[in-house]
Amino acid sequence: MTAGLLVTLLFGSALVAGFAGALTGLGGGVVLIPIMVLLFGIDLRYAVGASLIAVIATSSGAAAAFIKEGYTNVRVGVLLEVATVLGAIAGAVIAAYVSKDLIAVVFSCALFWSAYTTLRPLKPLPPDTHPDRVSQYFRLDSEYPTKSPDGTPMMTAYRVHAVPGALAIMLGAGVLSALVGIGSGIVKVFAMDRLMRLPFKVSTTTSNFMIGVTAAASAGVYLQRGQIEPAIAAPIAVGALGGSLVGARVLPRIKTLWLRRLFAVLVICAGVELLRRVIQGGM
Amino acid sequence: MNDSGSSSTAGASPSPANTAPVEHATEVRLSQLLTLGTSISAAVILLGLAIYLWRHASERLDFTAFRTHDTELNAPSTILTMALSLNGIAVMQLGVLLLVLTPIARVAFTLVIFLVRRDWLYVAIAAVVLVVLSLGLVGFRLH
Repeated sequence: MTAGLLVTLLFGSALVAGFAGALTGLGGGVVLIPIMVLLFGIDLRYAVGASLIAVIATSSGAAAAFIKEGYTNVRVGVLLEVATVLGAIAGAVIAAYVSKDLIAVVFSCALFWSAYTTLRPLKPLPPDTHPDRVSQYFRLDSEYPTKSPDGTPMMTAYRVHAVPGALAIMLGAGVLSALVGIGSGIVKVFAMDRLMRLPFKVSTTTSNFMIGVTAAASAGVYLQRGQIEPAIAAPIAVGALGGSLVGARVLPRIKTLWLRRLFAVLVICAGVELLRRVIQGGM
Repeated sequence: MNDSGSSSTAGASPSPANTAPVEHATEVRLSQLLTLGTSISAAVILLGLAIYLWRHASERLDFTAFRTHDTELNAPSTILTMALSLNGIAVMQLGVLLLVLTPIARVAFTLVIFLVRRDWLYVAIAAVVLVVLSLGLVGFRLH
């Protein structure tokens, strides 16, 4: 493939990945890696490095809009980041003692299950629900933009629940992402949606806010190993950035149900990608 | 439970509606920082891409195998010196590096915001994140 063609194709793929990644809070790596490896024949190590850059671009590009519009819960994001980065260290330490293949298979099953449950939203908690002690201590309750029944924009208050449980799951998400390198965004959205009972758009945008930091944490190591190849990472970065900006514009208009469906599709992609790597021995 | 920032008169319980507007105003600064970081890195990457494609657009590329010894662009200092001589590949990598630095700058800036607000709990939380991140960036070997 000529450089011009490869750059164009990578840019186009990253545009789509950035769009889907910004909407779902997953960063779009699960879309990009299979495209790069299976369609363009790029070595998995380059693909993983470039996808890391795509996640950072998507996260930073879309977060600017999401924060301004008031979707992102910055406090929840900063608090959960601690658990994720500490989990990532723990994961790296135990990586030598566990079977990555076994974990990947179990995790992909968990992903298929979570894709199924995401499509069945929990009933929203009534607004007068008694406040959660821990959540009050960390001042996590907030509000986010919605539309009133007659279509005018308004801010709706919500409460945050089950913080200790969510922190524990975030530790697990960090461990998993260090072990199998995929799916930490999925666990984040899932914990915020199902456990903390955040509105779905708050869950995806807050995950989007965090994943850039998680990815940047490991970028140094990937750079040293030579996995960040400029001819791949550069078009991916600008493409993902462009796609994320479009995604950020679409989010306020998209129905939550469709967002859940898109999320479920990406989660299934991630599960399939994990199994593919186990079978091909790329873990 | 103390409230954030400028208003010390607020006697009501800290319901979301009270704290949100003040917080949101400072959070918009975060958003501006992210826009700045991504804009600069995108501009540098596009410049690098233009230089690179100008000279090498019809060259054949093959990334089917990973080349472990191709490491000259793996250290920030070499990236910078090569980029300053307008080597297309190096300029692209410099842009990518600036992009990686953007979320880290964001965490550092979050820390500053919490410091200004004297929100010690979140100062501590953001500081932990920043320390772990910096270790990761200087290539602290976790594996």
